[in-house]
Amino acid sequence: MSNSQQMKKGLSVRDLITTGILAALYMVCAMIGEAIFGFFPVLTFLCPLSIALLCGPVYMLILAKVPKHGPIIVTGILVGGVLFVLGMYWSMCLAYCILGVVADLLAGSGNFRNKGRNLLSYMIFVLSPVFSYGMLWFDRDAYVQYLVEKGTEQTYMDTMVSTAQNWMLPAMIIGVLICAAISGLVGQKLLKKHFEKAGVV
Amino acid sequence: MEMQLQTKDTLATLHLDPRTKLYLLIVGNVALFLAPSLLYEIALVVCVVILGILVGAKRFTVRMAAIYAGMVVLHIIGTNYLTGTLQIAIVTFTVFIRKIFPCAMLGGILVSTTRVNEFMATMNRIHMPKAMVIPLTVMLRYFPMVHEDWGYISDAMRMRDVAPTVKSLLTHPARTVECIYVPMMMSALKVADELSAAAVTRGLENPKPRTCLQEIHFNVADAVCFILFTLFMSVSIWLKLKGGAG
Amino acid sequence: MIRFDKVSFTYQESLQNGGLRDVDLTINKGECVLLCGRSGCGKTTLTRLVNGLIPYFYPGEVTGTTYVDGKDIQDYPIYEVSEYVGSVFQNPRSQFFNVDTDSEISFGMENLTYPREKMKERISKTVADLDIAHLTGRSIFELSGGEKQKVAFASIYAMSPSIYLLDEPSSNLDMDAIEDLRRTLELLKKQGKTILIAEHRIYYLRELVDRIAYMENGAISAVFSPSQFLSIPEEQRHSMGLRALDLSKVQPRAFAENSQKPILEVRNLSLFYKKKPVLDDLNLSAAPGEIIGIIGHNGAGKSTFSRTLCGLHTNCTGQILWDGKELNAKSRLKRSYMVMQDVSYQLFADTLEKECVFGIKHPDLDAAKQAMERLGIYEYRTHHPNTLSGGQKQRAAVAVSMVCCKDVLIFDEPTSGLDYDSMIQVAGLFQTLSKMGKVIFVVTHDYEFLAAACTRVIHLDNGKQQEDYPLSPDNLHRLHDFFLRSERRQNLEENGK
Repeated sequence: MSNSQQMKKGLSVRDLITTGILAALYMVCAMIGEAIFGFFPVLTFLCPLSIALLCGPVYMLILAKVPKHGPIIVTGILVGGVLFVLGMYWSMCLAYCILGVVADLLAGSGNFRNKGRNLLSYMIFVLSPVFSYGMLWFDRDAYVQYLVEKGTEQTYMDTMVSTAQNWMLPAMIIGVLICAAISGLVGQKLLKKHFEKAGVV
Repeated sequence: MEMQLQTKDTLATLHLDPRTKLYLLIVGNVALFLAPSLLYEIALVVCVVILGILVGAKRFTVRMAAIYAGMVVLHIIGTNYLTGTLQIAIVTFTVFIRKIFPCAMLGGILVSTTRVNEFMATMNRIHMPKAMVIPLTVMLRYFPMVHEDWGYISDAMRMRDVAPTVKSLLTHPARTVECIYVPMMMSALKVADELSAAAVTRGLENPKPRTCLQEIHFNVADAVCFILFTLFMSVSIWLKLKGGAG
Repeated sequence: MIRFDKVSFTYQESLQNGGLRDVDLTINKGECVLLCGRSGCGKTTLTRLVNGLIPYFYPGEVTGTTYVDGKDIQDYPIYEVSEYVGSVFQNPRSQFFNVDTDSEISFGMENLTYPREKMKERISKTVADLDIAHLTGRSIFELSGGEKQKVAFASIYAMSPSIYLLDEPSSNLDMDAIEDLRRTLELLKKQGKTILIAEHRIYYLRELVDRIAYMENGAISAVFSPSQFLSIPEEQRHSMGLRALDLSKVQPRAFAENSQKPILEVRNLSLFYKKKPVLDDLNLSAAPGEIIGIIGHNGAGKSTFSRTLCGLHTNCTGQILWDGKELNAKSRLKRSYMVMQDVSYQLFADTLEKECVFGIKHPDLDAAKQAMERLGIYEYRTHHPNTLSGGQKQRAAVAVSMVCCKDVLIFDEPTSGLDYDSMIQVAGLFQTLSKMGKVIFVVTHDYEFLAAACTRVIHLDNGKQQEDYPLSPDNLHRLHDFFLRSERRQNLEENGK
């Protein structure tokens, strides 16, 4: 392939357009993941899991189709940026950008062809939505105080919040990592089964 | 997800510079993040509603305002009349949504009143690299096509007895996932190639900065919005600092 | 203006066929040249050499030189070429870069950094010249395919290149849109632009082309003038794999009378989209083996009708009966199958073989094998469906329908972008299906194909069933009236002036 030649020039317009379109697809998957649980109380904490479960194949396709430094960063910034413009919580948007860079470097260290590293790269990238819940930990005191003022029993509140705090964040992260691994593996399998066979990647 | 992108009628009224819009969004986020009270939040939402109606996204604004009102009512009921786990569940949810919703509203309003080429010109103006601008434009353009594709794929699946329902997702997860993702991603790759060819043959690779049909410049409306929202943010910072000290 | 000097080309990607061998051709300024030939003969490749997509976009090995305006095109970056050469592609859906028509029309000019004043001037000229005032300021998602194509064309026109390249521009258009395309080309020709078109459906170019280059296996094997081309005997033309330049000479195939009793019946069927009525009070019956062409203008409700027949669209009143028993939407889904215009959406498996039994609980492998053999695709059974050609994919979908024992088959534009050979193959496929006793509906804008394949025509327009007639030589004038009406209307208008 003349890939090496293109590599020198960085991302071509074609790469950028491909990235844009796949980023759109990624974002649609993320939005669907959000929509599955997003509008129910409590279940909203499952959102990062469903997102992680849905986006893997698209992520793997991006890596396979544009195996260079850049597209994952671009995807991170785009998804983060568009989510920000749509009014999503800023910490998540920031996480997309930063984890995008980390994920890009990680996949790049395996030349974008190493399956294990690609999978790891996805698992890290897709942690971003977890950060939108950071607020609940960040602003916890105000939140607890607020509830107590409104008449919730302090002791009940304490146990509730402390248990929530102690196990929920790790549980969420572990859940996301497991879902991401499953989704990423499915994505790699689909790529091998269909896209390589059809000669499009 | 609703992304009604600009048609003629939405542009009929007050016109803001995209740079102002971006600024408003950032300020709105900061203000909301620091929002000291529910009342303050509601005031912010009122501002957003007024803005939404002025810039011409009337229907969207009204609908979102109604949902927000419902959320506030739910919140009040939750805090005052419910107890125990249910209360925590409801309140956590509404607090969470309330922290997101006004910004989503602002974002929706601003996105639906901005033309893509105008936005692209702004991006060039603030020296956003092409590597960001091109994927962004393409992305915005591709969203509705995902919906179209989905229509075809779901039709095709229903004719094959593999309808994309929750039931089939649970009984045959692998097959259902394959049926949805594979045609969707194949179609995306095909469009990417064809679109690239069409864009490249119309000179998109020209290294010189693009010009823009749309004129972009600040006007009085920009200044007013700028001052109003900055003021709002300052109030929240001030209240926060005062509250923190006391 | 354009000169190919001993140009040869091989695509780097092995899957791509359509390389070139020793092409020598000179196209003068102001000339309109048609490239025709079978799929894969290299006509598209030739256009890609002129707009610079080769080798930049489609890597491969080029020998020989392509000159545009006396300059070797390969010495220039593609964005400089785009000032002289405008390209219109096949699929209007994927040519749009922007979300609204205004941005799209100015897109090319913005890339070439036109100053704003000049852009405005060019846009108003473009809108006036191409008569597209009604298309300005719209979102692209509310446009029909034909309208999208017009805006894509306008975007090129606004850049005012001196050479226009068109790669199968009519493939996805209905006959009205083709007529508009013809007028636009006429205008370009009057302005002295050089036009190079690669196309299968060529009737609309009859009055426009100056020369017709016939390509075979990557080489130009003959160049005709239009009158020479028209004098090619029909049989020879068919053996060259070419479609008709003059539709009025196309005759329908004779069909044996269908003596079977009707089995499918549609009674008082009215269709709605959301709450809007689409089609009102449809009545028809069809016998096994009938091949029914459905024609009508854009938005006449043809696709809603086909989706209703399949049970995909449920917003309707009235009855659809099979053998006297009423079918609800669910049983219609079981009994019927639609082959979509873009078949890729309905192929899911990783080999053709698996495709045929995909999603079936107790697949009948023999039936699958038989179906594939019957359709002549058995040899591709281990290929990925996506690697097949358009016609083969269509056959794959038909094989699926055979394995699933579907009785009613609906085809949506099965011949878009197909050359003569493939079109005749589809017609042959219909014959096979007809003999098996299937009821076949085909939504199409392709006059030649209707004449070659259908036994009966139903015309839908203005929310009603306008006509329903068997397609025989006696009735051909009615079909003719429908298809050539727009052309005639144009002639009348011109005579009136």
